[in-house]
Amino acid sequence: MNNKDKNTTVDKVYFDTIVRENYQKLYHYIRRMVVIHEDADDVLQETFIKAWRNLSSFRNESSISSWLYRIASNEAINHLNKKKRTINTFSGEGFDFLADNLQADDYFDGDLAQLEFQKAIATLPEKQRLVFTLKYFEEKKYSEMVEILGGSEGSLKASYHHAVQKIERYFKKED
Amino acid sequence: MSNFDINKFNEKETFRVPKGYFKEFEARLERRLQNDNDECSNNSKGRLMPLNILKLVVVASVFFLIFKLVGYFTFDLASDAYYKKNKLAISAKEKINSTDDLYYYYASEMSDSDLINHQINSTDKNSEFSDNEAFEYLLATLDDYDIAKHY
Repeated sequence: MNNKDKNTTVDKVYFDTIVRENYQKLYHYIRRMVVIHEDADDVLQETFIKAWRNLSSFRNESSISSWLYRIASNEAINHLNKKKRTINTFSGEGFDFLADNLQADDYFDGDLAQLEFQKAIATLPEKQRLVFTLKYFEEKKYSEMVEILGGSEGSLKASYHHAVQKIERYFKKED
Repeated sequence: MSNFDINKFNEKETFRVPKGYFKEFEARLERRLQNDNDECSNNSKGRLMPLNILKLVVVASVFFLIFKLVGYFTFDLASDAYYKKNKLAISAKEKINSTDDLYYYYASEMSDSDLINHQINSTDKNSEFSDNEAFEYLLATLDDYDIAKHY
């Protein structure tokens, strides 16, 4: 076994540990972003493939978990934008088409209130959707969110605030 | 829903994961990573290598050709012209010893040059030129070719 093979083996053992420690929580994060199980499965797999290919470029400037969240966020948004282009190009800045998908999803267990909640989240633009999902569902600190999404804590707080207001307005309108 | 308050919305887990999904995912990812590795090592071992070398050879050839063409049109042609004129002047210096020599030199060697012919016609071949003057005259005639300054 030459040095390169040894390094690859060491990397693979390290990477397997990373996968085991992160894949479940990443799945739930991606699932909340893309809603459909099959889509979440694709995005999760692409996230780990990208992480494996770029493992050597990971520079420990953030935690490995934040790095994976960053890749997953980009993959999820790319996936949603691709889907948006194929489904409906006139659906505004949010991902409204996800609400229809949700009703048809066999693996959605939510009641009517939860369905409405998901519909409200689906109206959020890309950045607010990411910020809201990370803060509300993943319960990330703003400092961690900066590592994942970039920008400043102030701008992330503002995005979260706008997202919450939009969701509340959605429910008032529905009444 | 009129009393909706996001902070009191506690039902967070609304998505169900199919049974056995995570185990199945782990196995599938393992296979995909293995395929990815095989593909990468195949690419680096052979399939792409000859193609890369071929690309390199083609690019190098194109650059070489361009370099040669530019060199030919700028340096080779210029130096060739310079060499011919230079040779002409050296030859003239060797052959011209008198005004008559100058005349015959013009007539035999340079009769095809319009410029020199013009100078011959406008020159009185019977006038007295010293050898040195004859050569100076020739150089002045060739001055248009930018040769004189080399002597």
